[in-house]
Amino acid sequence: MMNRDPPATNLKDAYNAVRLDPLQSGDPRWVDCSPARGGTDVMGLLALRIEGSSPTAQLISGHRGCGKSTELLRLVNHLERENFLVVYFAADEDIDMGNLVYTDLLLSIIKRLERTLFDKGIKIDKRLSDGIMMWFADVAYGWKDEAVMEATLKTEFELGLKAPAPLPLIAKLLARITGQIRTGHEIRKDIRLKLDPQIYQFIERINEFIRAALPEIKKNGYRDLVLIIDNLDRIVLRVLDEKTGRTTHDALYLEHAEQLKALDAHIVYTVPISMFYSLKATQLAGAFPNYEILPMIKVEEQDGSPCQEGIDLLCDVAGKRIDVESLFQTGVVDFLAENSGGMLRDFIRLLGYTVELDQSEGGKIPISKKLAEKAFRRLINEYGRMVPDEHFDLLAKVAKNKQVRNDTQHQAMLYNLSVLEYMNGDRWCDVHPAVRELSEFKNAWSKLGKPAPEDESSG
Amino acid sequence: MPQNRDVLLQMASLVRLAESFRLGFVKCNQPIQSRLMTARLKEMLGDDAIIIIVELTEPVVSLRWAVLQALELDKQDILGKRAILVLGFERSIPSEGPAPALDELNQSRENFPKSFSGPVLIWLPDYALTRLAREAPDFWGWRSGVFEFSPELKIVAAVENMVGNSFSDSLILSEKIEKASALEGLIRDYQELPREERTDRSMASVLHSLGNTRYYLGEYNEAYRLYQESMKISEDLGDKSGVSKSLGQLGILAHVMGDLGESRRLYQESMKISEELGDKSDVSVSLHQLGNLAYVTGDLGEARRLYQEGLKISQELGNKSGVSASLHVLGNLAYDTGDFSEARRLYQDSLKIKHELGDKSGISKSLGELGNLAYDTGDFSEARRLYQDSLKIKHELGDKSGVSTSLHQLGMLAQATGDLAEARRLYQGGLKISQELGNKSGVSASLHQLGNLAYVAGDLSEARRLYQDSLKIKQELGGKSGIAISLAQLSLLEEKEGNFDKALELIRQAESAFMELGSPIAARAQADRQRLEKKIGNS
Repeated sequence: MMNRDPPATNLKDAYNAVRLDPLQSGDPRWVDCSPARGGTDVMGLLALRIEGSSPTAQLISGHRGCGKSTELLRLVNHLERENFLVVYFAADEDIDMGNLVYTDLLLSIIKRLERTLFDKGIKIDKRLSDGIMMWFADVAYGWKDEAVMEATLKTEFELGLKAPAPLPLIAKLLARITGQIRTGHEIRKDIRLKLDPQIYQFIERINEFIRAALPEIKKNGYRDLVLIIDNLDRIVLRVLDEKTGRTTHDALYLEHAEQLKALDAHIVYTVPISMFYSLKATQLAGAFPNYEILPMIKVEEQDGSPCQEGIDLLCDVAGKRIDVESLFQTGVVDFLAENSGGMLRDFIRLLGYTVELDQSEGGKIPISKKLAEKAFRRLINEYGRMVPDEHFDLLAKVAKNKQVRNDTQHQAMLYNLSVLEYMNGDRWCDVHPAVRELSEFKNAWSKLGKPAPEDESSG
Repeated sequence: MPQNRDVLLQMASLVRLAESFRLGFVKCNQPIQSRLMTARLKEMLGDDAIIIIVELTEPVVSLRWAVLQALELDKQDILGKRAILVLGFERSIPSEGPAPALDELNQSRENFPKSFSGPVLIWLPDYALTRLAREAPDFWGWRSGVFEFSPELKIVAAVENMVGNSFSDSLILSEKIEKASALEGLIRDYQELPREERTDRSMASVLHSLGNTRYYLGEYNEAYRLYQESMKISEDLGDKSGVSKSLGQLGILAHVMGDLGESRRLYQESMKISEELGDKSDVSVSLHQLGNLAYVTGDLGEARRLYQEGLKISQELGNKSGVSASLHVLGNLAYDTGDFSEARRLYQDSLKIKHELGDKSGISKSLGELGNLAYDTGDFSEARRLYQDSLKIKHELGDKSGVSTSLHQLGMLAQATGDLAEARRLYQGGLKISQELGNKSGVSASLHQLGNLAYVAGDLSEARRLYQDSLKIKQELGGKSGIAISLAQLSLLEEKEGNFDKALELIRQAESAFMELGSPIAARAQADRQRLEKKIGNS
């Protein structure tokens, strides 16, 4: 899987070297961008808290495509090297993100934990694990007899429903419960209704499991247990109550903060960045004092002048994949870096667009600035599709003040990436360079009584 | 168009370069343009890549599953590079309201590279692509290109020509759906083309046609919205004839939905404009519609006058389809007054013209009426044959309201031949469709027949409930003949329960209504009344 190819020297290799997938940990193409992310190594901070304290729940947040998954995978790798047993999983693989309830998440956690221990050959006291298993069997299905349960699960699994044998019974049971919650509409409601009133026993069962596992984990040479839940920030944002403005995000992270924090293990949850700009941001920070936000790579200073450090880092990112010097004319990659807003995914995307456009126009190398401008134009049109008309006046104000208000509209602008967050000492925000080129934005900007931003820098 | 050629070159370059999964989006409003562009892309790529086109013809919940399923169906071992072009996903993305397929898509990006090893290009019209960008941002975030085709005037003209020439109510269901998406594509193209009077005129006319198509598909609310939009543009353009046409169609909708007063107002307004413009053909259409209104409210003399006036104009103009429609409704009048041989002659004359014109929808209606004639003269096997022929055509056409009428007729036939269970099944089938369509008169007719079945089965309280529900709707709608029939049935019910005075009161009301309408049923009501009077006199 790991890419150890030298940087690409022709268009075809270059195109295939710029892919949007997150890097696996240890990938030589990884570039430490923390200097341009406000100088703090966010993952280092998370790791420090895990290494130095008793179990805590931490939050990590960042824009879609800012390199969060890549950084989290790096954290996993770091912790593994430090002899932690890490259970890492992407929440959306187990849970229906369009319809998530906190108990779904807890179920998914114990399922993943059990799987990891099993894979590592770490066994816990059978009597204890059976007791936990029968508790779930009883609450979810009313099964009180292990033999009955075994027979049911055996036939189901032999009918080829899920994983191959020889899975332990508890794994089959948890797979059945989480699977039904993900896909079965009626049964999902039913199981959730049964679990909710028993939440304290439920959490106690998970903690019993963790407490029983810990001595075994340590016996196997690990320092401690860490749970990292990625992609949880993809939980669909929906208003649940028009009057109070209560959202699906509030329901999970605020109303059930106590439950999410109640597990006896180091745990890292991903959170949508927009939550930190909601009216409830203080409440969230109160519930989870240990949180970090991964900002964008800064390619422009607050005053609009280019930030060479960030641009150089992005050029490094490109250089690990492509032989920039032979494929691009001087300054072209810098141009793309500046106009990506420091968002890794858009930067990589722009590189791909440029290569593809060059190929379609005959494949002349080195690639000219004209093509890079064309690629950027395409990105501008794409942002034009994403931004609703009613946002432009507010966007112009963000561009002017470099700050966002904590309200739902600004939340939406962070959610759709038209506003990006940066850091140098203080947090500040700016409008994505592609959005700044839209004529609707320019109109809104001139209504503020200022000339369009690009005129400003050339004047 | 040179810029569309560039877009094709760019897509071809993505396909040539990509060695693994890549997600691309293509904006193309017009299904016909999409097909043309995919063909050009194929040609451009030649042997460099295999292009597989997956066309989704129905709404799907999971795009990935739907595509995988389609590929499975057309399983072939394909060596070499293949690119998948997905068309028709807009069927899962309504212009408004929830789109569960987008929620599903938003969290399924990780699964795409596991399922597809090459580029996947999703083709959507503008509105659907925008909804996807906003509502499935996590999926959209993984795009490796958005390719936008501009409307091409030549294609727009070809589509205009094609949809303009097809006769909406005689298209089979799949053709109607196809036509609707072509019309929707045109609307989006007009929105992108520079605004000028010609495009505005075309827009009004396309909105109107789409309204008609939606109307025939039984989507009345959508049809209403489209007619209103079309009328607004015609008003802005000062196009009176367009306004008059919209008013007429809105009148038909009001009629179907049971608002007869509003319907009359709309027809009259429409006719007034047509008269001012001297547009005789449109005047004849309005006369016909006003005749229908008079007919359903029991003013048969007025109905005849209006129909004949309309017929005269159509004959003068040599408008065959107008003539056939007039003959048909005059046949209905003859039928209602018991002149079956005249009715048969008129229906058959009308049917002959419809065959000449290839007017399938009209043919299905004539067959239904001829079936009714056969039923009333006791020729049940002939009636069944005609009803079934009629039903078959209506199914083909996707004419839901027609299907419910046929089910109702077949139900009456089953009832007459003693198969009550089958009759109930058919009535309930008709009732369900009428309820879905919001067709009140259909609902009231089904309730009445189900009441008859309950009455025959001896369940008098259920029968009373059904008759009364039916009567209530008929009173809302104001159809005298239907009201009289309900009153007569309720009279029978009261008689059976021993309430002779009440029964007599009801049958008197019914009888005078039938007399007023000149209906042959008047004689039967008279006999019932006399029988009741005798009973009361004897007791």
